[in-house]
Amino acid sequence: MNEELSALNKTETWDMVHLPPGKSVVGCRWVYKIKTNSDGSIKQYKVRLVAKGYSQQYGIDYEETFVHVAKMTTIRTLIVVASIRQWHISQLNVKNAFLNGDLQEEVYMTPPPGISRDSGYVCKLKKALYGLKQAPRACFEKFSIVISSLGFVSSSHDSVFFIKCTDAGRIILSLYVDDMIITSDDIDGISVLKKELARRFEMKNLGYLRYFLGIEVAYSPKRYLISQSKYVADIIERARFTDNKTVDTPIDVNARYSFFDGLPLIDPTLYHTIVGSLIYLTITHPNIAYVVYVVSQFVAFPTTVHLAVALRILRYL
Amino acid sequence: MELCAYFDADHGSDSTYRKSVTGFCIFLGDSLIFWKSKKQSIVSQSSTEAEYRAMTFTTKKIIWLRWLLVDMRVSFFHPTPMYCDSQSSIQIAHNSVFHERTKHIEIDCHLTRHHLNHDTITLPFVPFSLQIADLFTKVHSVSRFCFLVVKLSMLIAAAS
Repeated sequence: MNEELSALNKTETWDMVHLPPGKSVVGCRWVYKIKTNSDGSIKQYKVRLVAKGYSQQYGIDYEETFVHVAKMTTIRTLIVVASIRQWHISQLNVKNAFLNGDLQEEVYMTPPPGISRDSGYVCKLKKALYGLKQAPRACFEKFSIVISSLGFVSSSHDSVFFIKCTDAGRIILSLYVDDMIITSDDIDGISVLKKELARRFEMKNLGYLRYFLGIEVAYSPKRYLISQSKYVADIIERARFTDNKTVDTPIDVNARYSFFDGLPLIDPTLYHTIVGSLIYLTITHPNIAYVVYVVSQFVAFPTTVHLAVALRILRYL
Repeated sequence: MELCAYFDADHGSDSTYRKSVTGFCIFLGDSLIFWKSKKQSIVSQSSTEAEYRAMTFTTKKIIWLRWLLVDMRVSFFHPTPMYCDSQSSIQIAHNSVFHERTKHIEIDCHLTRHHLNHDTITLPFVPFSLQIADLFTKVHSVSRFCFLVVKLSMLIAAAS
C-alpha cells in the first residue's frame, strides 16, 4: 500500500482542495490482488487505489472514453514476421500506466480511506486514476504524444501500431493499454528507445516476449508458438467438472440449435463467463472458432441446452 | 513471405433467420494468422450469393492485411490467392456480364472484380474436400474435423 501511495505522490495525482459548490465527488477504495506467473505461481501482491468511476455521469464528469487496443491479428502477424526475419521481440510494461495520463475534466474524489487528512478537504484529481471512466483514454493520449515526439508514427491500418524508420532499419511497437511489444531489425534502436521511454515513464522491462495478455509465447530458433494453456486450465476449473471425460470434437455432428431449445437458465452468469472466456480463447484456438460462434448467438437468452453445448467445448479443449 | 486465404460460406444454415455463415482463414507463409466465423448480415437467396458475400468479406481483410504487412516492411510481388470451392462464384468474379440474379450483389461483385483486375488477388479453385475454411462454417464428423485441424498446422500437443 505504501508503494502505491508513493507512486501516487510521485506523479502528483491530486491536490487537496475545498469542494467548490455544485460539483460532485467520486468515491474510491483500495483493491487487493494476487498476480500470478504463466505457471500459476505467485508473482506479486498488488494494491491499487481505484476511483468509483461507475458513479460518474456522461457529459458532466467525462466525455469521450473510447480507446484503441491492439488487434490480435496484428500481434499474430507481427510475431510471424519477426520469426521469419529472426528479429527479437521484447516486452515492456508501463508501471502505474494510468497515472501518467493527464485529466482534461475537473474530477473531485473523496480522500482514500486510511489516510490522515483535514476535514472538509477533497482530492482534485490531476491524473487519470484507475477506475475513472476517462482514465484509459487519457493514458493513451499521453503515450501517443510521447511516442510521436520520439519519431514514431501510428499506422493508418491499426492505430496502436507505431513505426519508426531509422538508418539501420525499422522499429515496430504495438501497444495494449500498458503492455507493449517491440521488435526491430535495428538492435541499437531498441536500446535507445527503451532508454527514452524509461526517462519519461516508470517502465518495467520484461525481457523477451514470454507471457502477454494471458498468452504464452514459446520459441525455438525456427518458430514461435503461442498458447493459452493456463487460461484453459482456469476456465475448466471454473466449470467445476466432477469427471475428466474428454471428447474428440467440440460439437455434436448432428447438432442444430435454436433459441427455443431447453429451459431458460435461472442464472445465466456461468454461461456468460464461459462464452466470454471461450471468445478470448479463440486467439490461439482457431479449431473452436465455429462452435464459439454458435454458442455466442445464445448469450442473450441462454438455456440448459446451450449451457451443455458450451460445457462440451470445454471437454474438447 | 506470401499470404494465402481460404474462404467458404454455408448457405442458410442459421435455422431461425436463414442467414448464411462466412468462414475464412488466412496464412502468412505456413502460419495461420487470421480466421473468422461470422454470420452474414443479410439473407442470401442462393449458395452462390452466400459464397460471393464471403468472397468480398475475405477480399477486404486481405487488402487490410497487405497494407499492414507493408507497414512491417513486407513487400508483395504476387497477388494473394483466395481459394474457393464454388465454380460459379469464380465465374461471376471473372465475367463482367451481370445476370438477373446477380444484380442485388452488384456492389460486392465490383469490389472483388476490381482487386482481381489489379492483381491484388487471384481466385484459384480448390475441391471441397481440401477447403480448409469449411472448418469455420459448419459442424463436422470426427475424421473430417481432425483432418481440417491438422491442415491449420496448429500444434495441439503444445496446448495441453
